[in-house]
Amino acid sequence: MVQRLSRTLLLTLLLSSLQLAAAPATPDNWHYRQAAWAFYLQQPAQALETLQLAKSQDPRTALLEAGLYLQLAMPQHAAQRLRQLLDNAQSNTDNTALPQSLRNVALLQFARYQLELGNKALAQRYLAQVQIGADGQWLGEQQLLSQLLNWPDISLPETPPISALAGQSEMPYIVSNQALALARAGQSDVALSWLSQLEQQLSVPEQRGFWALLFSGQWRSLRAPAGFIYPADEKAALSDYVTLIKAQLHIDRQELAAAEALLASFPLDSVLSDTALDLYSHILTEQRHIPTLLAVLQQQIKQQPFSLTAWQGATRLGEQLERQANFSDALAAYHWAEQYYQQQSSLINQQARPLQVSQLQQGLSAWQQLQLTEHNDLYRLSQDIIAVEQQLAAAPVRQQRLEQLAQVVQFKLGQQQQLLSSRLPELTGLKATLQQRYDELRRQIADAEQQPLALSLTDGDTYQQLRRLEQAEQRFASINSRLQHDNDYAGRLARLRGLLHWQYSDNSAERRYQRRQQLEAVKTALHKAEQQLAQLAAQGSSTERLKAQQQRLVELSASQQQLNLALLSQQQQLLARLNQQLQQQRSTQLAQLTELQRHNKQAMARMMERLLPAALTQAGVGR
Amino acid sequence: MKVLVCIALLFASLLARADQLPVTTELEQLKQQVIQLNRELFLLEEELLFPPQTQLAVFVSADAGQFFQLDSVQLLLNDTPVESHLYTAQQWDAIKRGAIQPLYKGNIKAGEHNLTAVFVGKGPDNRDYRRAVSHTFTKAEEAVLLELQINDRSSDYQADFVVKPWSND
Repeated sequence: MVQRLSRTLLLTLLLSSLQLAAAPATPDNWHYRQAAWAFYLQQPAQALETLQLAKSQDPRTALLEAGLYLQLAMPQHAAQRLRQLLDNAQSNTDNTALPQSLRNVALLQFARYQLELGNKALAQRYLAQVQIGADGQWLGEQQLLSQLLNWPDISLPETPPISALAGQSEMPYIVSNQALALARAGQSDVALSWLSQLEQQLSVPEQRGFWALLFSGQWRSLRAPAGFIYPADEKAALSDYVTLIKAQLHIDRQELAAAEALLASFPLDSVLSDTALDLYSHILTEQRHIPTLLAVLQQQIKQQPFSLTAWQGATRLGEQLERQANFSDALAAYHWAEQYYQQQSSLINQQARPLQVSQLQQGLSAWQQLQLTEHNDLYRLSQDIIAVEQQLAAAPVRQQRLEQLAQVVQFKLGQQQQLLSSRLPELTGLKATLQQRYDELRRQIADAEQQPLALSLTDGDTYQQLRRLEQAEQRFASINSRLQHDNDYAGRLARLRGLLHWQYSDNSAERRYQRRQQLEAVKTALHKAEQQLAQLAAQGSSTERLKAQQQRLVELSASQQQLNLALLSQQQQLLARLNQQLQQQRSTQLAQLTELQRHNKQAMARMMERLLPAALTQAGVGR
Repeated sequence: MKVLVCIALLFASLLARADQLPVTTELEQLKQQVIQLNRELFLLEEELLFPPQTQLAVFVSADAGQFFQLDSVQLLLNDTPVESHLYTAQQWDAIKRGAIQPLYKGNIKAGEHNLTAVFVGKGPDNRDYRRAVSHTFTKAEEAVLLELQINDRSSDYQADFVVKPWSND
């Protein structure tokens, strides 16, 4: 039932997110929908891993996480998550609060978990917080949990709540529990009437199978008002269960014929056939239908190997024959029972050998298989051992991934080291040269702008021409003082000076432009060199990150090894506990067999006492 | 009396008892440690094998999926096949229910790339259906996450195939 609710919880959560498909993918629901992918492919561990990577953890994500923990048989983590969720939901009234329907799921799940731990008061507290809406969703689960918490003092309505719970899968369980409670209260006729009504409800022909509907995506139709559609095996089991309760009530009322009529047609392949056979043999014993009873007892012996019922049945065969005063047949039956007990003891001793882990999934003896099937704690232990084995089997793959990552980090580190050692000096030198050239050019430009004429006339052709012009002007000045009339020369010299000025202006602009171009080119080269150096520096910081990752990988590898050791140790402990409990079962069963053998031997002695005088008499007559 | 015991046992199977759930705290803690270890390993793999500077990830999703039943997807990156996937009924069902399939994850250089997805399946009236959709994108510093969406188009009862980039904020 717990698995059923946890499965329901997961499906409800995921199916309620179907609308997500139509909604745009956002960072909030990526992980949720990717987790759904893993969940639907039956990979709950991966689904949980994906979900926990979500950047934002909304209540719906937390609820799904709790469901996944349950699927991974981690109820304590699930409970912790649910508790956080419910506590937060109480104090949270904004838009991020959990919707009531999902809150109900969480409350029911948590209440059930507390009930399983035996914390009834806490379970009651959380169950009381469930608020069923107008659609009645989760009403059945609420009522069933309430019954489990309050049994046997459960509430009993005037009429069976068949129509009120028509859409709820829990309805047959609730009604049958109510019928049992009625019978306990001495109202077995009312209980029988309720059970008959329930039986009729269960016999309604189904249109489509539960799973067919579920996997066709028509989930909502499963909760249609017409009634819940059960899978065939559950429906058959429910029907058989109701029949058994009815038979039980008839027996209580000493209506053995009615009970026999019900049980005579009980299906042999039912999951409840053992209980039915037990009830049937009880009725036959009461009614002294010896031939039929013998057949039933033989059937029990055949059908229920290594069971107390079958062992008692073996003695009861002789007892019934003894009741018929058929002493010789009774003695033969007791003899057979004696051999049967010896054979059973021998088989138990053979098959109750200590188990190894590898035998758990394949290679269990029939006796061991039966013990695991019949005893819940043994089954859980075996499942825990198998779960640990699966974790251990996954360890080499994980180790391989760790080693691969370590290689990747080592390779990247080597690559970066090589890059840094070869490129860094080269780029540093280049940057220094470029910087020097840049500074020089800037200085030249600044100087030229401050003293444009002097700078440009300090060397070069223009300077030479200017020198010659100045010399000519000086010479002309000295000649001109002696020769009074030669304005022509003065004009020519002035034109030459003007021409030189024009040439200077023309060249200096071009030179300034060239210098600025050079400056820009050097600046670009310098920027590029700086960028490359910055990239190298970043590589340096990435090296730090890589080293941190390398360290993390070493730690993870160590954790993995410690974890493997812890898992192995845990597995050995669980296996030892399982074997110890199996040995306890073996001792108990052997003690039961010894007791039955003692009882059987007494019966044999009794028969021989009865038969011996007659035999002696016959022998005397013969002599 | 014995009969009563039988029925009591039967009903007890419905009643959850405290001893049916042994407190396996240590085992749970170990399982939790395994989950944490796997998560850290996954994160390290992401950082080292698929850093955002080079990461390309492609996902598949569907909205309803009534007009198309997906059989396979082939993915071509710059005209080179990089991934193909054949769907089981269970996988297609998961996608139709709203799950997102992580189809491909790889590394690419910075710059312009072209992704082509070829969808093969059954269209309306169970006819064979083959459609391709292309998307050109520029890879920069951020990881490129692309969702291949299969949408139902009610206007002409055909499936619509869209490549939608995600923002990894």
